[in-house]
Amino acid sequence: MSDPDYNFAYLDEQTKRMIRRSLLKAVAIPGYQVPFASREMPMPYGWGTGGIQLTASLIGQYDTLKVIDQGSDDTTNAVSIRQFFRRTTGVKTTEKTTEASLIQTRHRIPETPLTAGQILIYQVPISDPLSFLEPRETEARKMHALGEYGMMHTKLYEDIAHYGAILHTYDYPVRVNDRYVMRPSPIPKFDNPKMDHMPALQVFGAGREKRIYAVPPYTSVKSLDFEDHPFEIQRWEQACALCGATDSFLDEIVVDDQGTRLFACADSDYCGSRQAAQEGES
Amino acid sequence: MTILKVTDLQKEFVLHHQNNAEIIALWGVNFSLSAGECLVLKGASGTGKSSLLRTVYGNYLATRGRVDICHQGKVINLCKTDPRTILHIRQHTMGYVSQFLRVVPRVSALQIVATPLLERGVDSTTAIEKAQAMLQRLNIPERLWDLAPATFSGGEQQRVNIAHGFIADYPLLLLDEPTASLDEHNRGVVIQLIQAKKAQGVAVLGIFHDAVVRDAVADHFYEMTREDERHG
Amino acid sequence: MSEQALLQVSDLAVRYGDFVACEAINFELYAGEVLGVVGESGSGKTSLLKALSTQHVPSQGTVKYTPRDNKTLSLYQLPEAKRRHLMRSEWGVVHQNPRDGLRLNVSAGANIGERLMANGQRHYANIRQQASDWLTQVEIDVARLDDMPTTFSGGMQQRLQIARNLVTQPRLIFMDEPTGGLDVSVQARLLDLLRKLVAQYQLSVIIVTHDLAVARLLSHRLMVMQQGRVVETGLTDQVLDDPQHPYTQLLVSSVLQP
Repeated sequence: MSDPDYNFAYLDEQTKRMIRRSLLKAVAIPGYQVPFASREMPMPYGWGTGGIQLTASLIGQYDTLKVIDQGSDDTTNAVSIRQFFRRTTGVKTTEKTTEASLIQTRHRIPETPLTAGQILIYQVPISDPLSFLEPRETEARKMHALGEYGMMHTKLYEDIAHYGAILHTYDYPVRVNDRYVMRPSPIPKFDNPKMDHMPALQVFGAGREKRIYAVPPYTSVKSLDFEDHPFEIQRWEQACALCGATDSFLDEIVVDDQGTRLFACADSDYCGSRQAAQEGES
Repeated sequence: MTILKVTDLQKEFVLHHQNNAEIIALWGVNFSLSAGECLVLKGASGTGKSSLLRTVYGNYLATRGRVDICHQGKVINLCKTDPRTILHIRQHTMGYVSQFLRVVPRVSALQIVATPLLERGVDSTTAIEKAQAMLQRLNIPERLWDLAPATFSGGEQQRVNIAHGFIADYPLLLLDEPTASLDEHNRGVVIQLIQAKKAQGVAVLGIFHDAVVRDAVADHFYEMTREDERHG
Repeated sequence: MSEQALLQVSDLAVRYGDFVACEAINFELYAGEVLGVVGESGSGKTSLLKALSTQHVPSQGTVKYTPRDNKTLSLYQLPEAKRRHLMRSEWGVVHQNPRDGLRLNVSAGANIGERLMANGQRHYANIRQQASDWLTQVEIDVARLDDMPTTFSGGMQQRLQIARNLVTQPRLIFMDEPTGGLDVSVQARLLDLLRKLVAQYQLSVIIVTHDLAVARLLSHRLMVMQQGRVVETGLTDQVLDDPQHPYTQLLVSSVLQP
């Protein structure tokens, strides 16, 4: 059961209401950054406080929570955050994407397609796509309000001019519902197509920046590009060494002191499920 | 056809920072000028000949009187019209060859001479060709054509000025001492140019100190005096 | 002569509390005209320029502009989005300090291409080609297309700023002391370029300057400002050669002749 010294999910009820109101606004205006009163959390900024506050406001006693970091359930951060919610809510947790109702993620979208009724909660470091080119926040807000996004393409142009190709390989800017340009958080561009018309609700929380934004289910999410330099996802020549998948995002792992490398799925649940299925068959 | 009619034209300068000193440049000028006619202004230095040309051109504001110009079929009083109209008149009807070439840095002689044509919409190639022909006629050596006139001699600058003033077809030409720095040969060229313009029907109002030129081109004289007006 | 004025300014005033920066400003500007606004520091010319170019909302008066579609607009009755769109498509602003008018952290090509991209162009090669063309027009070596503006000299930065503005073929450009801070020879080159572009593209320009030589070279008409008001206006050569107002006479006589 949950720790009796803390309110359910750590945050007080008023804070949860405030965050839910912001979330409603965010869902009503896809891709629009809603300012919210981000709270002091028991971990520093930069460790997922935005995502955690969203999960804390959404989680209920009948939910099943999955937490991943770079696709993996067993990295330090994922373990700590899962532990945090177990302690403050007593809610069931899982590593299986298909069993989760809430999935909090840092920097990846699960390979297993999500379904209607699931909520994907992204941890976001920098929320504003214009912050690189336009340092003045007043001006950036106006540009969002007026839909003036020429500058985003300027950044992409710059990449092509200097490097021959658009260099963003992660946190690749997207246009949501043909209106707002958004940063999808540092997910690899490989994952961008998954966001387009996803049946699940996607919510994004930036604790330090104090912004929440959302993409409702079945909303168009298009990656920015040029007509003659269209958006492309990464591809590998190798397949996963553990499960043989050729359609997932692969991590390159050094396995010994001689520098031997192997490629394996970043999504541990996806890889594990595939391996289990193969063992079942054999 | 009367191209220019000047009626009781007076010009007074008030120098506000020199005890409001009043200097009268024009005492009441009256004359009219027809197409194909050359009127030469005569008078001692300081009688306002250059000031008259400048006032007719709109460079000076008249204090009193009228300057009626026949511009594209209509008679317009330059003294009472708006700056845009004056610019239009300068572009299409009235040309002015001043005494000194105001040198614009970095613009070549060729470019200076071609500009009046370019401003009237003549295509670049034709304008340049005509400019070259004009410079040739005025004996400006080809090696100078692409240079800015800042380093030219006084005579060469004057000839560039003349080329600039004569290249387009203005119904009215104002000439202020166009031959002052020229040698005999080039003076002759300018006389020919003026006579050609007259033959085309251009009205010419000029100041010439050189008697030879005066006699060659003048049809009438107008004597400028300081106190009263007399028709020559 | 019966064509529609591009810009009509009526009774314009800019006040900061009790302080009057400029007032009672009335004039019209037509296509292909260059209007010079001269005056010393504190004359209000910069405030006027800001009010005209939508950078500052005037306290009084109207500014009417007739765009390409010939439907006259009253500038400050438009929604801000429309004003900003106008700034990007039909107008240009050349700032005194090129750093105010450029993005210093992207290449020259990106600087020029930005407006095209802001207006919806999405073909990289086309945008790049247009940027190259304009770089040539302002006499910057095309090889510098991918260089950062911070590596350019002051004169080059200024010319880049001009290219950045001209890429959308504006009809009206506002310039605030465009030659300020530049070496004399660099100034000459810039002025020359401006004259050429004005003639070539039939640009209308409002240029604010304290330098009478620049005004004489570039402008057709001149407005002389003193302490917030226009004290004299007329053809440039007439105002400079036959100044009527005491202040104009003072300005003209103060200019050093080298």
